[in-house]
Amino acid sequence: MSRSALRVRAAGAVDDGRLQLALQNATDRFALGRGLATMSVNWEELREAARSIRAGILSRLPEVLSQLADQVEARGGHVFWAADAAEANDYVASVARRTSTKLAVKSKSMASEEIHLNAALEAQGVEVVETDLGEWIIQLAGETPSHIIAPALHKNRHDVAELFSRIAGGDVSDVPAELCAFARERLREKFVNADLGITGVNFGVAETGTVITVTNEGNGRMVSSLPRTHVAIMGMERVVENWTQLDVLLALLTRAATGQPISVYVTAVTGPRRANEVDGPDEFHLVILDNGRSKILGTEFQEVLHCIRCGACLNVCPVYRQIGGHAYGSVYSGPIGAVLTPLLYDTPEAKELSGASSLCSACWQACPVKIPLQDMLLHLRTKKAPDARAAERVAWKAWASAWSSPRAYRASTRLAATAARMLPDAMGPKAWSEGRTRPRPPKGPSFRQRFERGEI
Amino acid sequence: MQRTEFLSRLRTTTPHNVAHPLVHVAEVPAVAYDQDLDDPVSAFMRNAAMQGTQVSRVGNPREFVGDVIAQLSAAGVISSGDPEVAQLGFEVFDRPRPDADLGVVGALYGIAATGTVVFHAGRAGGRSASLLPPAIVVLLREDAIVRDAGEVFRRMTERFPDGLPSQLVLCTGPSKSGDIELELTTGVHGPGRVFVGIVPASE
Amino acid sequence: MGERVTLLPTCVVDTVAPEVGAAVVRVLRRCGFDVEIPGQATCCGQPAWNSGFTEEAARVARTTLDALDATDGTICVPAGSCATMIRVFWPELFEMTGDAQAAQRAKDVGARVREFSELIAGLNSGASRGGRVAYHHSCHMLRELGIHDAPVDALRAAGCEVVAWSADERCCGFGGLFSVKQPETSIAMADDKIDSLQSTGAETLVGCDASCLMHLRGRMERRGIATPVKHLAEVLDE
Repeated sequence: MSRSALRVRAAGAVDDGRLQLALQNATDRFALGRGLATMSVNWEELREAARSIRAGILSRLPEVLSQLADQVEARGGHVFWAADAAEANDYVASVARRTSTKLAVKSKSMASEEIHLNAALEAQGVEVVETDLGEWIIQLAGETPSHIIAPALHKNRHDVAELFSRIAGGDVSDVPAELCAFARERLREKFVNADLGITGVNFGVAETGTVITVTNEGNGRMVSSLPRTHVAIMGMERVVENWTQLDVLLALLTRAATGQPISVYVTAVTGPRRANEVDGPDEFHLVILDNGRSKILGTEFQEVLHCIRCGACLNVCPVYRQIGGHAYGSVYSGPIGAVLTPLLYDTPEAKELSGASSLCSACWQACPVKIPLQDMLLHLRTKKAPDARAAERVAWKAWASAWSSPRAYRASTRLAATAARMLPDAMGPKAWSEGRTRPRPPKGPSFRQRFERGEI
Repeated sequence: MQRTEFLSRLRTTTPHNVAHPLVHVAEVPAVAYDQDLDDPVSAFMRNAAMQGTQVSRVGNPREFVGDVIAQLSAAGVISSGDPEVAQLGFEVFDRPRPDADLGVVGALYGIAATGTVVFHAGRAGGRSASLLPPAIVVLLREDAIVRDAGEVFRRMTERFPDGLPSQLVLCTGPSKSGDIELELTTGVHGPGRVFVGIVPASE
Repeated sequence: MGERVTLLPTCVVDTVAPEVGAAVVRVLRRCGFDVEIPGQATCCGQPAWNSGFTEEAARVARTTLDALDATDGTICVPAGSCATMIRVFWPELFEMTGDAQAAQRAKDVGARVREFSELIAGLNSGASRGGRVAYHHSCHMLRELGIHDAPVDALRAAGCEVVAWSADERCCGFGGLFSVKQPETSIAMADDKIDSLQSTGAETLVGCDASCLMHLRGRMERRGIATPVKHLAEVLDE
């Protein structure tokens, strides 16, 4: 039987010693920060409320999005309703054309990666530069992000120095402070000369038509302050109704993501610049993206749309810790990626991802909005069970037949014990025996027999 | 797609989860911080310092800014249009200045629980004076310091009766990145040095 | 006559870990319980449930539900994952497969279920084994049932020193069929835990889920690590 694509990628990852070190370093540090930060507020109370808040918002999503759009437009912004990636990309491309954009700068947006916006703009001759340091690193490397919050965590300082040296046309030292200074200088030139700024949206606040971006570097501010046009790409579920809800969700987001009480910059943009400002964009556009999210509403997976993209589930996942983000083969990795990807993309590779989990529930425990990801992973397995190989379906039917009969169960457990004992260690399912010895139950009567005979 | 068609595709239900039932929470709880916020100014100073801000109480703003300029040997100083800095006589930012090495700005609020200052683009006359230079000095009125972000967020409409400005920024300490091996570095895009001078409440 | 308790052995005990079952019975008796095992009980259905085969899981679970429903009083389940299956997931399983009545009966049965360490918490098992042990928190027990202190307290009451180790709450990598469907990852997860154990000086690894222990023991033996791996009941029985 050939191995699944997931299994091949995972096997490669667990053998990659450098990746293993990077993953352990990153996940251990994230865990420490998160542990300390969550203790400094009423964490459990906020999480429980946040789950309820997000559910309420989604149950009123049409009204909430309408209010957001009305408010943005009232402040002089433009709203585009993108049913799918193609519509979103066409719109942004048209804005770029109309504004004679040659250079676009971007701050972090998972949604824009999901729709492959950069490629669409590059196809019409726009230079697109990622400005989040981690995103710029992977852009230079031609790779996809391996983590939601720390996209380049699979790269060490030598890798980065090598990348930077190539574009510097000379040697750049591998000291992080110097690498950052290099990035600051290079990207500053891009910020100042860019025609178009593209950001993601952490939260859209419907009450006032405000888009919130959360960064530590300041690139979110740069991108929404310097270029003449600002386009914000927002997954349609990333809204709150009012600032009171934002207070709770922001407190949860930064603590869950990086263990910070607040990020260095929380930028709240409400429309384009006003008359009395010397800088700021002349135009503000909000692209509200569906791209498969509406299919998830009303299903047993709806809660996956509560996600606020903090990355905590990646940081606690014992599977992610071993295989890293690229093994998931998707823009979204870790537990959230394993659930979201097959819901957005109906491909065999995507469907495999619910198998990238031991159902340990650490993700649920860490999730600031209490999404029961373990339940969703299980529901995904249930949905794809009818498409399993015939041999597997037949095996489960036989198992159910035997084990729903007490007599057949007793007989089969005796058989299993005998088989376990009799087969040499190297035999039995190879997948078990290649790395582990098999159990060796003792000979003689079964536990139940001994109990019934009063021998215990 | 047209708005009406887009919205008509959205089913509106509440999740039904038997194993982990959704609990309806009627009131949005306050964020309760596990620290003493009864003296907001002290709390602000403590938290700002923890985030790498150089914060002090200031009697004479002009002298204070002068000291920072001397400390940094700053040659190009630009200022925002905030009222706190209007009287100080620095050149107001009106176009990108690559040679500006210090920005002098005022803050609308200080948030004690996190050591955060709040910039208001309209009041400042723009966005860049607090963003572009490698160092900034922020003048913050003592009576503008509130306990926590909720005091601003939960009273937004009261605090901005004419609507929100085009940009509000909550700024907490120098610009940071952990993108290289998760090692913290400062000054990646935004200012790498942040000075905050707490000035007496305006008369 | 002590308090009657119904014991569901679990299929792992019935197939490959009879010594765990025997130890559970002896420890329960020493704690003052009279133990009964319903002959009609089989498996809780979790293997199929975790693999997405809900109809098959429900068929098997139904047999065990009926057997447990015919008892009253406390039901002891000596495995965190099986106790979770019954208490947390059975109502959903039966609702999904259209058996509302079974779903309700499952709720009632679930309310009577106690995981082994939960049941004996605070009771004197007479154990005084001592020694330096490491405790593995199995996932369902820790996160779904919220049981953290009971097993550690039981070990301490038996005179054991329970060492701290950084990977103690991390998944061991068994995950049912995950262990053979993603074996490389499963083994890497086991190695992660095992490596964390090395510098602690623990002379026994203890847990409350025989399935996790089977996987960890199998990996440790293959790696030539001699540290014994035992169920809590076996340690208290020593």
